[in-house]
Amino acid sequence: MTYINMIIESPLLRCIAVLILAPTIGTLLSGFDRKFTARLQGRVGPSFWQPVYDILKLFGKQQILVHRTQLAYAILHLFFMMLTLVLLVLGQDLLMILFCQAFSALCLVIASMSVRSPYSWIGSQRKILQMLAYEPTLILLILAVYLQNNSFLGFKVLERDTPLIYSMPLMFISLLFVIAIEFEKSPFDVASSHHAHQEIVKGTTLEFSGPFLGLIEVAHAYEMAMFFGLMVAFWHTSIIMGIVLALIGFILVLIMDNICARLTSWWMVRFMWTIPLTLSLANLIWLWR
Amino acid sequence: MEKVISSLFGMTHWVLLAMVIAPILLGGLTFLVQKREKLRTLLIWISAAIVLAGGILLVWLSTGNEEGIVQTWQWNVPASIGKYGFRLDLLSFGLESFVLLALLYVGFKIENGWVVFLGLIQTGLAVAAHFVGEHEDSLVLFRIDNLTRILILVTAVVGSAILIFSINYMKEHEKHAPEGAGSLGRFYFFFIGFLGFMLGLVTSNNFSLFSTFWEATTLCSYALIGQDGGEARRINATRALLINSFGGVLMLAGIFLLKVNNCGEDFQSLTGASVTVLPAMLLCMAAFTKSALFPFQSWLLGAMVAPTPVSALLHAATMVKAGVYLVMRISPHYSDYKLFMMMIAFTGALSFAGAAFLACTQSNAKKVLAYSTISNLGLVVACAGIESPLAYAAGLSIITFHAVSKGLLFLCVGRIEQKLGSRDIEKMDGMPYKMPFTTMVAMIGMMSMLLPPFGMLLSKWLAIEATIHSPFLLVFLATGSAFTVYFWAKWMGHMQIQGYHADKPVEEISKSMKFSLGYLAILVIVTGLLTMMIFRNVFTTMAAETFPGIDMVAKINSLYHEQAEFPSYLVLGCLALGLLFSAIFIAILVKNKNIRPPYLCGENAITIEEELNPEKNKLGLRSYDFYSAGGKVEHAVFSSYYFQNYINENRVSKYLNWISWLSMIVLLGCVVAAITIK
Repeated sequence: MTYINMIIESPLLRCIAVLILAPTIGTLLSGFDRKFTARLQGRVGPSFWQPVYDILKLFGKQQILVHRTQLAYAILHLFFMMLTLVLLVLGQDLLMILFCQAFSALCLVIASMSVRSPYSWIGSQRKILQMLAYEPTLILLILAVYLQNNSFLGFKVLERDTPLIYSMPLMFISLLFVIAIEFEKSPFDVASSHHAHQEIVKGTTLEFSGPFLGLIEVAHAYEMAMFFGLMVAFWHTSIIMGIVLALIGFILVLIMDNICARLTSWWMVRFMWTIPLTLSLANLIWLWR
Repeated sequence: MEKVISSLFGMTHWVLLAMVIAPILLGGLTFLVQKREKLRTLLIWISAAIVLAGGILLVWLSTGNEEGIVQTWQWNVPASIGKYGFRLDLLSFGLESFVLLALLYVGFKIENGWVVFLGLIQTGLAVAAHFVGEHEDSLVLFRIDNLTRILILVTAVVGSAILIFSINYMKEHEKHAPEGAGSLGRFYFFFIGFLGFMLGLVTSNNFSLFSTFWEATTLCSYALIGQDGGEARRINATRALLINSFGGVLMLAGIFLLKVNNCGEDFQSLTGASVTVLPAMLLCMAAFTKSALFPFQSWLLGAMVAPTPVSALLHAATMVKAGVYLVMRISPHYSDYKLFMMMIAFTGALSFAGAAFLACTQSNAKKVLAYSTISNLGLVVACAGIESPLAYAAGLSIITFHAVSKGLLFLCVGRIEQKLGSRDIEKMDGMPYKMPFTTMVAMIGMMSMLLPPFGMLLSKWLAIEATIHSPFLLVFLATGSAFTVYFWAKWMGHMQIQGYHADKPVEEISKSMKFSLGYLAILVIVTGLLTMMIFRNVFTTMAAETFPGIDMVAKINSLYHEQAEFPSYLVLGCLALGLLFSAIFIAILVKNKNIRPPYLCGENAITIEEELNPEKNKLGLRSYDFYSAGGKVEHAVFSSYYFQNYINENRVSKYLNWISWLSMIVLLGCVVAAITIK
C-alpha cells in the first residue's frame, strides 16, 4: 500500500504510472468489447488479450510508408493523446485538455489527408465532421463542471462531496454518444471502422501499416482509457461505483453498436447537434446559479 | 514663443509626429520616383524600417519610467497659443474638413449619389460638432495608454513585414496587372500612408483628430481596393467606401451628441454617465462597420479583389483593427449598462459563430481568411462586451496574436496565388514539394490558430471561460469554436497532400519575400512560446488596470490565476519531443525500399519504380492514377466537403444580416431604455 500511496502523492510517478497503465486498460476494454460483441452475436469470440497480441504483432511487421509527412503526424497524434492524459492526471484545466485532444485528432486527420488515397481522404473528411459533431457537447460538459466547482481545474472535481452523476445525468447520456463516436461505434463509425469491409475500406487509418498502424492503435488505446476515466469521474466518491457506472455506459455503447447500422456522416452531425447538444443545454439550465 | 514650443515638445512628441507624417511623406516620395525601380525599392525598405523602429521607439518612450506602474502618456496643449490666440482645435478641424472634402470629391468623381449624400451629412455633422458646445481650455490631442501601445506595436511590426513582402509581389503583380490598373506609385502612396494614418488613429485622443484619421483610412482602403481598376473592383471599392462612410456618419453623430451635451471633445468624455450612452452606442456601431462585423461584412469580403498585400494590411495590421480598438476603448466605462453591454457581446458572438460557419462552406482561400477575420473580430467584440477583466485580457491577446498569424497567412496565400495562379484551396495540391518554404510557413500560421500554447487558441480558451457568466453567449462560442476547427482542418489537410519524393525540394523565392515571411513566422513561434508569459505579465495587468477597483476582479480572481498558471511548457515539450521523434524515425525508416504507392484497390497505374525514379515515368503518371474499366487511366479525384448543396452562402448571409440588424435595433432600444429609466 505504501508504494501505491507514494505513486498517488507524486505527480511525476502518477503520470508515469498512468502512461503505462492506460494503454493496457484501453486494449483490455477493446478485448472486452470483442468478447461482448461476439457473445451478443452468438459467437465465442477471441480471448480478452487478443487486442494486446494484435498491437504487439503490428510492431513486428514490415515498415511500409507512403511518405514522410504521414509518419510525423502519426507520432504527433500519439504524443498529444499522451499529453491529454497527462494533463488530466495532473488535474489541469479541462478546456485546455479538450483542445489538446482535438489537436491530437487533427494530427490524425492531416496525416490521412496528406496521402493521395481517396479512401483515406474521405475517411478524414468524415473524421473532421465527427469532431464538428461532438466538440460543442464536450465544451458544454466542461462548462457544466465549472458551474458546480467554480473552477475549470480537473482536480477540483475530486474534492467534491457528491458524485457528478447526481447533478449531470443528461450530460452523462450525451457523453455516451460522444464516446460512441470516439470509439468508432455504430451508428457513428463513418470515418473508420473495426470492420474493413465497408465502402471506404479502413478510412482514416487505411494508409498506415505495420508499426505505424501500431502507433495509432496505441493512441486509440490511450483515448479509450481517457474516456473510460471520464465516465469513472462521474462517480468519483466511490471508485467501485465509478467503475460500475463506466462499465454500464460502455456496455450501453456496445449494445447500440450491435443493434444499429452505420448511418451517414451528415446524419451524425444533425443528430449530435440536436439531441445530445440540447440534452446538455437542458442540463446546464438547472445547474445555473 | 520658444518657451511655449519647448514646453510643448519633448522627444516623444517629435517621434509621434514623425510617425504619423513620415509614412505619408515617404509614400509621396515613392509616388514621385515610381519609375526608378531601385530607388523605389530602397524607399520602401526605409519606410518599413522607419515604421518598425518608430513604432517600437514610440512605445518605449511613452512608457513611463516609474517603477511598477505603466504610465499613460498625454500630449496636452493649451487651446489657444500665440499673441493672437490662435485656436489649435481649428487646426484639427481644418484637417477633418480637408479629409471630408476629399471624400466629397471622390463621391462626385465616381458620380455616386449615396457617397455624396453621406459625405454631406458627415460634413454637416462635423461643422455642427465644431461650433456647438463649449470648447475646453486645454486640449489632449494625443494619448498613449496600454491599449494604444498594443495597437502601435501591431501596426508597426506586422505593417512593416507586409510592406517588405509587397516589394516583390507588386513587381510581379504589375507585369500581369489588368488594363486600367493604377500605377505602383499610386499604390505605395496609399499603402505607406495608410500605416501613418493608422498610427495617428490609435494615438489620437481628440475626436476631430480621431475622425480625421478614421476617414483617411476609409479613403485609403477605397483607393487600394480599387487599385487594379475594372468593374468588379470599382463596385467593391465603392461598397467599402459607402459602408465605411455610413460608419463615419454614425461616429460623427455620436461626437456631435457629445458636444451638444457639453460632455467634451475627447475620449475622456466617455465617462459612463447616462448622457453619454447614446453617443457611445453610435461609436460602437461605427466600429462595427469598420470591423466588418455582421451586418456590415460585405465590404471586407469584397475587399479581396485588391492585391494580396492590401488584404493583409486591411485584415491584420490596420483598418479592421481600428474598429475593435474603438470598442475596447469604450466598453470598460459602460459596464453598468448590462443590457447594452450584453447586446454588444451578442453582436460579436453572432459574428464569431456566423462567420466561422460560412467559412466552412468556402473553398476560396482568401474568402476563408476573410470570414475567419470577421469571426475573430466578433470574438474580440464579444470579449469587450462580457465586461470581465479576463475577457478583456482575452480580447487584447486576440488583437495581438491574430494580427501576426493572419498577416502571415494572407502573405502566404498571396504568394501561392501568384505561383499557382489560383487561390482555390482545392488547387493547393502537392504544396510541400512545389513550395516547401511557403507551405511550412503557412502551416505554422494555421497551426498557431489551433495549437494549444499559441496565442489564438489561448485567447479563444480564455474567451470561452470568461463567458461562463453569460449563458446566452455560450452556445455561440461553443459552436463557433467547433466550426473554426472544421474549416482550418480541411485547409491544413489540403496543404499537406503530396506524393513521395526522394529528393529534397528547394523553393525559388526572392529574398525580401523570404525575409518577411520568415520574420512573421518566427514572430508567431516566439509569441507562441512566450504566450503564457506575455499573458501573465502584460495582458492581465492591463486588464486589471482597465477595471480598477471593481469587485468583479476579486470575484473572478481565482479563475484569473488558474489560467495564468497553465503549464504550457508541457504542451511545448510534447510538441518538441514529437517533432524530434519524427525526425529520428524519418531519418531511420524512410528509405526507398519502404515506400509504397497509396491504395487504389490494387489498380494503381504507376509502379513503385516509376514513383521513385521520375526518369522512368515516361507516361507522366501520378501516384493517384488508376486503371478503370477497359484499362483506361483515370485520376482519382477528391475534394473536401463544402456543403454547397445544403448551405447557400447568400441565403445564410441574409438570415444572419437580418438577425444582426435586429440586434442593432435592440441595441438602440436598450440605450433608449437605459436613458429614459435613469
